[in-house]
Amino acid sequence: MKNNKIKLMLDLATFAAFLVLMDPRTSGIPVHEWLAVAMAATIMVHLLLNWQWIVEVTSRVVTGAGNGKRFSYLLNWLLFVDGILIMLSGFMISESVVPLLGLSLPQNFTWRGLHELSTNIAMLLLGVHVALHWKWIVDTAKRLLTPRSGVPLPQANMPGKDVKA
Amino acid sequence: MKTLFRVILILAAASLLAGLMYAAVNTAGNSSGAPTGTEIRQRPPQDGDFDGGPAGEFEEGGLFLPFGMLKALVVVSLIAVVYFQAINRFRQKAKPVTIQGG
Repeated sequence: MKNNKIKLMLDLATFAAFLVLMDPRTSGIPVHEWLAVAMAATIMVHLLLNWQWIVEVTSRVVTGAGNGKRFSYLLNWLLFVDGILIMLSGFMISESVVPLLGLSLPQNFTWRGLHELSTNIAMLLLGVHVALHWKWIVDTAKRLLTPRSGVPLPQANMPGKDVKA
Repeated sequence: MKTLFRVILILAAASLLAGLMYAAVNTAGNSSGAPTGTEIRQRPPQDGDFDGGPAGEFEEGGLFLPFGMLKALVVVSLIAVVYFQAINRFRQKAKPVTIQGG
């Protein structure tokens, strides 16, 4: 119960941060960059909270896992790689965080293009990621809003229900 | 200790990927001979170069709408809906037809 509550709150906060990050003109560059650093930390916690699922599916992805689980696993890897590209390209064109650290990186317009491309890809991947876990999101939110129902909370990482997180 | 090991593992994977991406972009940039940002900045402006328009063009105006946020929200929602529709159709096709007696 407590773990699911933390997961849901963290995921909602990460999603809200993602939306703010998608509009650097509104938030301003310093807020955009520092919020991105904070979001990287929340994604790290997200991975740690779902570590059991990652380990179990990694060990069975070739042989034992179903198609739904394989798809989810592949999608999560794509999100991870895309997230790394967003962070790396963001660091390379940074105007606030990197200069504050006293670093000077070589300018290259390729990074700006990659930053925009990877961000657009992240939107698509995140849409599917949210859809895959929509049932868990709704069920957990319902349970948290009505905590006295006595029904246990659903397991995280819905696609393929045979793995117990 | 276990958590620390996991954190280090995630950071190692991220660093490896970032290193590969950095090398790939630099290799591609060097081989294509594309000008870097510094080179472009040092070049004097020429005819036909975009001068950026009047200063402060986008900073004034009364209407404030966070278009980037709205765009992201709409795109993520649309993708989710399209995914649900596709999955539902796929499941309906995959399900065997059952005849209810009664």
